[in-house]
Amino acid sequence: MTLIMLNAIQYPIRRLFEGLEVGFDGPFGPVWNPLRQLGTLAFFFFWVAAVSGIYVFIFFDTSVSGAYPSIEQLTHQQWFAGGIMRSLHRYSSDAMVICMGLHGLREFSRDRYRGARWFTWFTGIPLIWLLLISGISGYWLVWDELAQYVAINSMEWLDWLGIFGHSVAENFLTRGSLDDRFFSLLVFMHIFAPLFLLFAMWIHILRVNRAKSNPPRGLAIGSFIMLLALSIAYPAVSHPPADLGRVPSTLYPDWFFMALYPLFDAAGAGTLWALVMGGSLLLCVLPWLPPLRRNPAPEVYLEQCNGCTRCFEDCPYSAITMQPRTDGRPFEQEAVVNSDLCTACGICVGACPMSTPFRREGELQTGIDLPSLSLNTLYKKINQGIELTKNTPPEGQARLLLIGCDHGTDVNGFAGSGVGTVSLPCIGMLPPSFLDYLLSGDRMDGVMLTGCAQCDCHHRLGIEWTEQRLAGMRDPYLRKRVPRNRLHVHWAAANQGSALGHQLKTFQNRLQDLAATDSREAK
Amino acid sequence: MNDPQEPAHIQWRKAFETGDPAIDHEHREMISRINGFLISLNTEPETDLLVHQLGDIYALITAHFALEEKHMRDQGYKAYAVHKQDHEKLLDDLRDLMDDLEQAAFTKIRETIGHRISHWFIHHFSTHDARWHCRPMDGQ
Amino acid sequence: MDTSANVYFFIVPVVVFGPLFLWIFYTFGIKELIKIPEEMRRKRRRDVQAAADFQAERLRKRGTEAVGLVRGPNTTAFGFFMQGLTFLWFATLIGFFASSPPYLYADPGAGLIKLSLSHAGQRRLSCSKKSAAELAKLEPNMRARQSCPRERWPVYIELELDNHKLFARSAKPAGLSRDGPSSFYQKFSVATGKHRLTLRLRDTDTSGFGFVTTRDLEILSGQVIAVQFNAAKGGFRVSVPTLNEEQS
Repeated sequence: MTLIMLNAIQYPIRRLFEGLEVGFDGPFGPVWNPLRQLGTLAFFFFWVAAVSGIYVFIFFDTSVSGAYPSIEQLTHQQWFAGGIMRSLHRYSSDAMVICMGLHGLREFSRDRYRGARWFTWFTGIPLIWLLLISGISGYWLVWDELAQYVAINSMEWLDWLGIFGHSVAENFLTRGSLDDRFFSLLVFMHIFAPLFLLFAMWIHILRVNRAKSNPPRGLAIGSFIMLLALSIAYPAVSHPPADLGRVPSTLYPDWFFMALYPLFDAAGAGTLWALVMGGSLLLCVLPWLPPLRRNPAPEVYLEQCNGCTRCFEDCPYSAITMQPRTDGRPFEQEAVVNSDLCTACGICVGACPMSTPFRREGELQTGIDLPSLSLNTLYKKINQGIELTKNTPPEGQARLLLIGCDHGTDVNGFAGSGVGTVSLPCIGMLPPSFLDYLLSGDRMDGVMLTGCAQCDCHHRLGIEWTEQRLAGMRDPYLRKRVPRNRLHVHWAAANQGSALGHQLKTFQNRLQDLAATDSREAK
Repeated sequence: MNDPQEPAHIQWRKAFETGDPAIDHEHREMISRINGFLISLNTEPETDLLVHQLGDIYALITAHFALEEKHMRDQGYKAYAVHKQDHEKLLDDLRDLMDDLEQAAFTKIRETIGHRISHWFIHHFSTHDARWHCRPMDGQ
Repeated sequence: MDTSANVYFFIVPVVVFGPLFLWIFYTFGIKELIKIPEEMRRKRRRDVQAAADFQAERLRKRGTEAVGLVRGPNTTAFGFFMQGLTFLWFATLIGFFASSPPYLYADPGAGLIKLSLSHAGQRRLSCSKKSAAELAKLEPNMRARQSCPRERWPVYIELELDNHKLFARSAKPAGLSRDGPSSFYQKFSVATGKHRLTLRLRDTDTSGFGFVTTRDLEILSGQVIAVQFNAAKGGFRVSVPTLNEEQS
């Protein structure tokens, strides 16, 4: 029941993102598409904020009376450098909030926060609050009317907890009550919170194998130029200076950081605490609601495993480690699967050299196998696909097998009329020897591979590994004897079914022409 | 080696020993399987058994080559690329053989199949593998 | 404060001592940590080169021979133009919400009275001497002559503006033993103009108020009147900040 509800929430968000991503693929190209680089962009904007912040801090006077004039001087007298740096600082942190929010929403909509991925999600929730605290504490330092409003509200909110012994909002009661020492505490918070944020960001990507924290250079340059242009065209300015004897009337808040303050004004501290704590708690336990029915992790069959490490090299989640042998055979190592980190993508099965479809004595067995889709079952499915195509096509039509994945376009919709289909958890699960099998003898006229969109593999490395195996760059190589002209590859997102259908038709026609040429030459 | 009609069995020689227990173990297993295949060739030709045995041999050899290549990479073996090329060629040849057998072109290959297998196996041993195991760190 | 002198005050030491510091750091520590063995460096370079070659090869062969219609980044002029438009849109989004829409926090035609005080009520029971018999019952190290219970009375406050009670509440003493101060923090939005503010505080159980203050105020727009309390300094203290004519 909860699963249905969850899917009902995830599905529209996922479709929205898919549509936007395909839209952005046009102007940017898949490699520079910002919607596929949200996490790395957040990191990049952090660095921009850090460097610009250090610059601004050099000129900042940390006393209560000197803070505002020092920032004003920087913004107006040094507008060509300091003013731009200040604006960069503000806008890059705003951009970081946007990227972080979109990133979290995207990963949620793709169900990439449960099972083995719980750690990354769980350590991502504190990042939201650390970023907000970093930004809000930064606005305090300007000590203008907005800072006054934010500081007093924040202190009143904290006072509700009653843990400080006396009221911290008292420090903002009258003109004389805010002293330099308390103000220094605010300065300290703005230095410490972003440092802690950086540390937490590192922990967030700790369990991600081959994590990327830098966006592609072109995208980074473009984003930076965008921030620079915005900083020049619309510089960040301060409100009138803070005066504790006055209550500010109209404010121009930075809604990226201060959206909750008007809610505080309307609903009070208690409600806001409930919302914040309740919301955070819900987000934190989300990986376990509802309980994930996980596909069982692959099993290693030691009689077939000689410790060649191909599965270890290919696993996108670092779920496989090589350990000393336990079965007494003379090999040094054996593969061991950590089911806590495994998402049952099957890429290890595709990498294992024993995953060949050529009939042997007994059932097909391989060194590492997925219980939910064993090599033997895959072999049977492929043969079923072959049988299907033998039964369906009209005379002269090419027979081909379409192999796709569960997260790209649904390939099963294309079955029929000479086309057989097989869907895998990830296209990286397909051992290249199966292509050799299909394209030798008279089994198939052609094979077409598809998966998720380029740069968007649901299991991160399936597309890359498949391309490298086909190109003879990554073990196991696709044999050179396999005719490449009878193999076609087209990466398509889930919402690009029509493009895939078009490619399928074109390929089928090409195969027919090829068959016609071949038969003419044979005669 | 004597009668062109009867493919010769491969005997394990001291020269085959590489000093690496894992490699030697796999070499022994491959030789025993190949010998089994050669026996079947004589006693029960033209059955599915030959196809199955070749399938097993193919899988075993692929895994063996994978392990060898891993060792070579770890050791920084300079002639790795050439050695790997030979592996790929051997596997391509074996696949050709398997296809011929599947398509029941048995009569075409019967005379040569045994020789081919034992010949290139021993050839690969005495050239590439010997080079690697005798002089593990340089590429001469 | 002379900001330019301030700048040199920080920059000069950084520029003078920074390189020295960094050199020591590097030579005696960081160098070993960040130095990559030549072998690894070469392998890394080879891998990067191989990956770049593979990408180039892939793009060259796109659409043919088992390579899909893969695309590199869009570096055409039209592509950059469209990217620019997208960035422009994004920049507008950031620029807009970074300071708009405005938020009306306080009514311009009102002032604010902030009540913030922390005062410890009187002790509920006075100190009493212990009799010899009671002392004998205690352990030798616990035989204090006087027994002074810690509990205090709650504090009750009333705030009236023009004879209209805005606030009448009692606050319990803080702490598990009920011996800490009682705290109040409250804000009242009041209309501008002349008002009479009356404040009363009771910190014992007797009727009547120990501290009463009355003050006539002229509240200006946006003015914050702070009400504090210090028993030692006579009781309530009402701070009325002066506002310039332009400000009110």
